[in-house]
Amino acid sequence: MKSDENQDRLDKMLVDSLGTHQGEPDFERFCQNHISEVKALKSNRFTKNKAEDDFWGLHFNSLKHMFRPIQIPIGICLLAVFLVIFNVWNFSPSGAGIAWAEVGRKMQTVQDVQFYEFDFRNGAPTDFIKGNYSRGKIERLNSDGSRSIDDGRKCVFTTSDGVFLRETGSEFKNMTDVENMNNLFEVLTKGILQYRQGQLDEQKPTEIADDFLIYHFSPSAAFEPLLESIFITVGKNSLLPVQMKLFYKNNPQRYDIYFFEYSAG
Amino acid sequence: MEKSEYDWVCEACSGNIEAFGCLYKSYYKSMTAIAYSLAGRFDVAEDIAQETFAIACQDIARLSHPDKFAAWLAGICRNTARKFLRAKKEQRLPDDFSYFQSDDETAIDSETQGVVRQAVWSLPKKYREAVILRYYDGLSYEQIAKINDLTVQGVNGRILRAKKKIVLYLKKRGLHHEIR
Repeated sequence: MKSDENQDRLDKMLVDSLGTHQGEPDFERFCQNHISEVKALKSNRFTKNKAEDDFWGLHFNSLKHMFRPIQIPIGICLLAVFLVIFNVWNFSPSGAGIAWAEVGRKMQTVQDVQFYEFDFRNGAPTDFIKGNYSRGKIERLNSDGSRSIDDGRKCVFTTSDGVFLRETGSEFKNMTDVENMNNLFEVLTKGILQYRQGQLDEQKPTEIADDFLIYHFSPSAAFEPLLESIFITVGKNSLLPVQMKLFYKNNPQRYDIYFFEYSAG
Repeated sequence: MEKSEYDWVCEACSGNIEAFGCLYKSYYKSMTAIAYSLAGRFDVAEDIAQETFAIACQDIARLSHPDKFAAWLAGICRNTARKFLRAKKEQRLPDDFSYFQSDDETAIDSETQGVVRQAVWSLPKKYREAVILRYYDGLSYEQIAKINDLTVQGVNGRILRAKKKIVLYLKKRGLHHEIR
């Protein structure tokens, strides 16, 4: 009892002696006095984690906002399992002689692809699209929440709630004869590459890393006025594209990056 | 549904100034208390708290663990206070007692209050900070634990040891009759 009384007495002495904080925090005044800091915070809306030097950091930071936290490790695990499977089936010691035709053939075995498109301006991402190709249909989820489904004949646009917005012709309709197009990557790249002029099939990798092959292409005639060059990174053992980078003409600060993930079967 | 602190931090990281304003209002008093425990002057503590939030405002996008925001902010505050003290080469007892107000008629006399404050300032920094957060800012043990990235038991231990040292100090100064 005496101990409790002593504790209470000491608590009261401390409260009396130290007093209490007077006045309320004034955030408006803080903003007025720290204009540059407030501007810096607001600019984070577009340049959060300025990670242009840390490409993978940027990629994962973007993914953190796109998916629930639990989905990212699951996705990474699935990707790891996928790579292990293709390591076993498609061992290639050097990769220097692997023509793009091999990649095309491998793509024909794939039924489902998820892709993520990031648009960069001045080293910072300005927009992203998450997409999925499955059995002839491409579904896109845009950064504003709107969706589009393109089945090769028509493209239907809806709001994030599924409310119909508009219908247009397929994005692939004017590209080539999509009915005969059996290379999935051709569909995904929407005619960016020069498919019908023999450029692709014989193309050999321009860079060979431990795990990746990098192919360098020129854009097709339709995209030649716009694009400078195209780099596609392919898994050395899987022989599937994992990344595509498009550089724009007259603007070295502008480029688009696509990432691809595959589901087996 | 009401947003959690974690939501505010994530939104502030993404450039939402209103979210940062909510964090400012939540932690301003605590940062002032931490700065006060180190600088010993309330007016200086307020300047340090302002500087702390200015740094946080600029750097919050680099915060990798939003759930550790309080501890991160407290770290900035301590560093800012240390820089200030290095620059001024001073750390002294509060000299402006007008900030210490109590309307309680049963409050202890001002002489005793002065000795208690001296006792608090004689404590090691980490004990002093915990005592000031608890008795000046009125934070719960859970809130102090969050700011210090400690467990509640850890905070309890710190405050208990601090109080023992304060009692010892008071007894040495002949105030043993205050603590029977």
